[in-house]
Amino acid sequence: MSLLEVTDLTVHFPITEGILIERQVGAVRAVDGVSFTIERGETLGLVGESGCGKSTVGRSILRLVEPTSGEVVFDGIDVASLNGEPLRKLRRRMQMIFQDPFSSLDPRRTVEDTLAEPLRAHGLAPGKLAHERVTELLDIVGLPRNSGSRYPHEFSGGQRQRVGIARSLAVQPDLIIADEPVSALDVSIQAQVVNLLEDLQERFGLTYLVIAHDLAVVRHISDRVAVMYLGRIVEVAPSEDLYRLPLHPYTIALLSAIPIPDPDVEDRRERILLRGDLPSPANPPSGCRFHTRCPWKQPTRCDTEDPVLREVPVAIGQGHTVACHWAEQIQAGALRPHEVEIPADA
Amino acid sequence: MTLLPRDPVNLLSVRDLEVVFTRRGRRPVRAVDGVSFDVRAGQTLGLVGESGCGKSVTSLAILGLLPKRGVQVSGSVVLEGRELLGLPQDELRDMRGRDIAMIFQDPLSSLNPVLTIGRQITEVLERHFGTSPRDARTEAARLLDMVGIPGAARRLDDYPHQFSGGMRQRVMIASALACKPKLLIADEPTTALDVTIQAQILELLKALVVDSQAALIMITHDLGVVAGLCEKVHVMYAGRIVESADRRELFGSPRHPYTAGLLASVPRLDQERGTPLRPIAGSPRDTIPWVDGCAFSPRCPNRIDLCLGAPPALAPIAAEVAPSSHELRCVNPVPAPVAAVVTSRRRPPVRLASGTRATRATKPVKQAARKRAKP
Amino acid sequence: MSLAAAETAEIALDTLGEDQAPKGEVWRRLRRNPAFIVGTVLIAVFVLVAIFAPLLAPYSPTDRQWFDEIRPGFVPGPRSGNLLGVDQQGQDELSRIIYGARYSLLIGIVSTALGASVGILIGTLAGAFGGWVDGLLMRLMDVMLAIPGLLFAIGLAALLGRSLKSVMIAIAVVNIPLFARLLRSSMLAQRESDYVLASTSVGVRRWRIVVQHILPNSLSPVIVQGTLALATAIIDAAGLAFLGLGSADPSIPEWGRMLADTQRSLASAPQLAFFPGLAIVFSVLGFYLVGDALREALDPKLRR
Repeated sequence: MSLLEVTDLTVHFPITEGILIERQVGAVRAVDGVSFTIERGETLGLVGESGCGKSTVGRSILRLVEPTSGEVVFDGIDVASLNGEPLRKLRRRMQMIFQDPFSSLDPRRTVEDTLAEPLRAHGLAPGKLAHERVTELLDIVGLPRNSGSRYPHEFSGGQRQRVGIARSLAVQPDLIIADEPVSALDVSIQAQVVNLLEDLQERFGLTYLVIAHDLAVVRHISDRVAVMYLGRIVEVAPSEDLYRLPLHPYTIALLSAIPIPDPDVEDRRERILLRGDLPSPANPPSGCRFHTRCPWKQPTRCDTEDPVLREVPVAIGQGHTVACHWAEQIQAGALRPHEVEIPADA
Repeated sequence: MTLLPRDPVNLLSVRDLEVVFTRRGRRPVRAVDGVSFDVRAGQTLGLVGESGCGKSVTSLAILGLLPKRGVQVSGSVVLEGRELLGLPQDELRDMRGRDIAMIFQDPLSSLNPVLTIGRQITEVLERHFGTSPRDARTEAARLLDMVGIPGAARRLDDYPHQFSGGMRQRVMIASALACKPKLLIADEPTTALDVTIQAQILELLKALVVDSQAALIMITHDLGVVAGLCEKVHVMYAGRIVESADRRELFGSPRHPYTAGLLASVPRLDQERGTPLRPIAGSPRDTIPWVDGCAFSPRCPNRIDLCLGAPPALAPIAAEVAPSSHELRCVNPVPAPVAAVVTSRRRPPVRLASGTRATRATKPVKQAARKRAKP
Repeated sequence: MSLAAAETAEIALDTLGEDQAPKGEVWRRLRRNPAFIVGTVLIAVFVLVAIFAPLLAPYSPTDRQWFDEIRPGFVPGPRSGNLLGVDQQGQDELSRIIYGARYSLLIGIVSTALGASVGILIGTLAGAFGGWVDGLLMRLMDVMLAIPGLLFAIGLAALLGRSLKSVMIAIAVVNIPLFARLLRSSMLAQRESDYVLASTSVGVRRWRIVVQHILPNSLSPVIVQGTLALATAIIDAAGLAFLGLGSADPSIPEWGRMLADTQRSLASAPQLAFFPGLAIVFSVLGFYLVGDALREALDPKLRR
C-alpha cells in the first residue's frame, strides 16, 4: 500500500460578490483533479510555475486548506473524513516545511519554544526531556546546540530554514511535504539545505513530497517528478526519464527555458519559447488547458478534449505518463512546433 | 562637472567605487568596498553575486539613486568623459533615461500604479526629447510592439496592474529603451518571474541589446543567466570584485574558490543526476572586513595563512598561453587544470525530435571522493 | 524569488552590524525620538503629581478659607500664598489643580482598562472563532459605534445618576468596539501567517495557538491604542464633567468640572479658565506623544 494516495483532488476557491448577501459568482480552480501516489521512502517532486496549484496541493493534503472534493488517503486512512482530535493526531505523521524562513517562525518565541511546541502538542517529551530533545534536533540539522535560547531574527535565512526542518522532524513523521524549501535562500546555501534533506531522508527513512519551481533542484532530489500546469498534472515520470525525454509540450518548454551555467550549452541550445501568459485559473481554457500557448497545438482535439494522463510506448521506462493527445507524434518528430497566435486581448 | 579626456574605448569607467552606509549607533556598513570596472560601447557585462555582495548598490550608485542621508559615496564613475558622482540632481535626471536606463527587479513597484503605461513612456520621451504628445504616443506604441506586447496601441491606456508580471517587465524594458540610452543596467530583471517568462524576457533583452547597440550591465545571482547573455563577467563578494573574466574563461576555468564553489553547488540539468552538490560552507554573513584579509576566507576551502592580515589585490592571472583579461583576487586560487574538470566535458548538443534538449553529459571525470562540506 | 531580494536589503545593511533583539531595537528607536522623551516627561510629571498630591498641594482642595475675600466681580488672582489664585468658592486653585490630576488619572486608567479588557476579549473571540460568532459580535460592535458617545453618557447618567462612576463606564463602553476591532483585525491578519499555519500543521491545539502566538503578536497595536485611548479618556472625562454629567459634588476638583464652573464667573475671574485647560492639554499631550512614538518604534516596516 502506498504511503500517500491522492485521487482527483480538487480545490476551488469561491469568488463571491455582493454586499449584504454573498453570492458565489465563480471559482478559482487552483487544483482541478490531481491524482498521484507516493510510496514509502521515495521522493516525489511536484513542479510547476506560479499559479499551477502545487502549493495548494501540498496544503490541502494536510488539510491546511480544505479540499473541495477528491480523496487523500494516508497509510490507509482517509484524511478528508477526519476532524478534531483524530485529525490533530494524524498531523503528527505528516509534516510541512515552509518556503519562507522569515515568516514561518514566530518572531516572538525562541527557537527552543518553537521546537518544543510540537513535542508538547503531542505529549512526546514531558518536562526536562523536551530540552534534551530540542538539543538533539538542533544537532541533527547542523545548528549550534545553544541556538535554543535565541530568536529567529538572530539567524540567517539558511539557519532559519534548518529550524523549520528541525521542527518538522520533532514529531518523527512519516511524510514531509517541503513547500519550496530552498527558493528563498541564497544559491550557496541552497545546496547545504538540499544535502541536509537528503541526509535526513536516508537517516530517518522519510518520505518526501517536494514542491518547487526550480527544476534542477527537484531533479536532483526526487525519484519521480510530476509537472503541473493550471491545476492539473500534465506529466509524471521517474526523474531521469523526465529530463532526458520530456513528452509534454509544457515540460519541453519548461526544460528548455532553464539557464545552464555553461556558455557553450547556452549558445547552442534551441529554446522553445512560450508566448503569452498563464490563463486565469478562474477561467481555464477548454479542452487541454495548455492549448492556448502550446507550440504543438493541433486543429483537432486540443481545444475540445481534455487529455488524461496515460502511459505512452515511446517513453524510456516504466511509470512515465503524460496528458497530451499528440505526445507520440511530437516525440517522433512528425509534428513541428509552430508560432503561437496570441489573441489581442490576452 | 569635470570633462576628462575622452576615453576612446570605454563608455563607462568605474574606479574605486565605495559606498558606505552609516547609521547612528551602528557600525558603518561598507556595501561597496572598492569596485572598478569598464564597460565598452555595445558590450554585455555581468555582475554576479549573492545577496549582500553589493551589486545592486553599485548600480544605484552609478545612477545616483542612493539617498543622501546616511550614505557616503566615493570614487569615480565616468560616462563618456563626464564624472557622474557629485553631479547635481537636475543633470542626473537628464542623464537618467537618456544616457543610462535601468530596469528593476520588481516591475510592479517600479511602475507608477496610477499612471497608464502609455503615459509613463510618453512622459520619458516628452521630457528628454521634447517630442509632441502625438508623436510620443506613436513611438510608445511602437516600443510596446517591439517588446512583444500584443495589441500595443490599445494597451497604451491600460494601467500596470492590468498586466501580468512578464508583461510589466516588458513595459519596463520598453520605457528604458525609449530614449535609446547608450547603457542599460538590468538589476535582477527576471528574478521574480517564472522560468518560462524569464526565458522570454532574456531572449528579448538579448535581441534588443544587439539591435540598439546599447551596452548592458546585467546584475544577477544566477550564473546560468550570465552564461547565455554576458560577454564579460565580474563576480562580486562582500563589496569587491573577486574574479573577472570573459565568460568562456570564467565558466571553463573558474579560479576563485568562491566562483568555483558557486558553480559546484548548483544542481545542473546537464550533469548526471547523482552528482553530489558541494555547498560552500557557512553563510554570506560569515565574512571578515576586507582590511583584515580576504572576506571569503571564513568559508574558503583553500584558506591559508596568507589570506589573513591584508586583503588580496585584484590581479591578472599568469596566463599559460596568452595574456588574458582574467583577473583574480586570491592568493591561493583553485588550480587551473582541476578547475577545468569541475565543469564536465561535453559533447555537442543532442537534438531530439522535439528539438530542444541541452547536451547530454558525458560521464564526468571521477574526482577523488570529497567529503561534503559541513553545513 | 523576491524573498531573497528582501533579504538583500536586510543583509546589505546589516551584514556587518550587530544583531539586535527587537525589544532592544524598539527601545533604541524610542530613546532617540524627542517626542517620546518629552511625552514621557509630561506623563511622569502628571503621574507623580497625582500620586504625591497631598505632599505637593499647599492646601486642601476643599478648604474655603479665602471665601470671604470674594466680591462680586472680583476673585483674587495669582499672588503669594495662592500661586494660581483662588477659585469662586474660595479654594486654592493650585491645590485643586494638583488634586485634579488624581481624578483625571483615575478616570483615564480605569475606563481605558475596562474598555480595553472587554474589547480585547470580544475581539479575540470574534477573531478566533470566525463564522457566525464573528458576525454577531461585530454587528454588536457596529451598533455600539453607531451610538453617539455623548448620548450614551447622558443616558447612563440618567440611569445611574450623575457620578464619576457613570463617566468611567460611559468612556469604557465607547472604547470597547475600538479595541475589539483592533484585536479582531490583528487576529485575522495573523491567522494566515506562516507560523500560525506551521503550528497548526504541527498539531497544536487551536486555543493554544491563539494564546501563545496570535495574542502576543497583536500586542503592539494594542499598546499604541491603549496610550491614545488614555489620552482621549482624559479629554472625554473632562468634557463630560464640563457638561455636568460628572459628579454632582461641586467640591470635587475635577478639571473638566472646574472648567465648567468658570463659565459663570468668566467676567470676574477669567484666569480660572486658563489653568484647568492647560493642565488637561499637558497631560493629554504627554500620552499622545508617547503613543505616537510607540507606534513608530513598533512599526516593523519603518526601518529607518
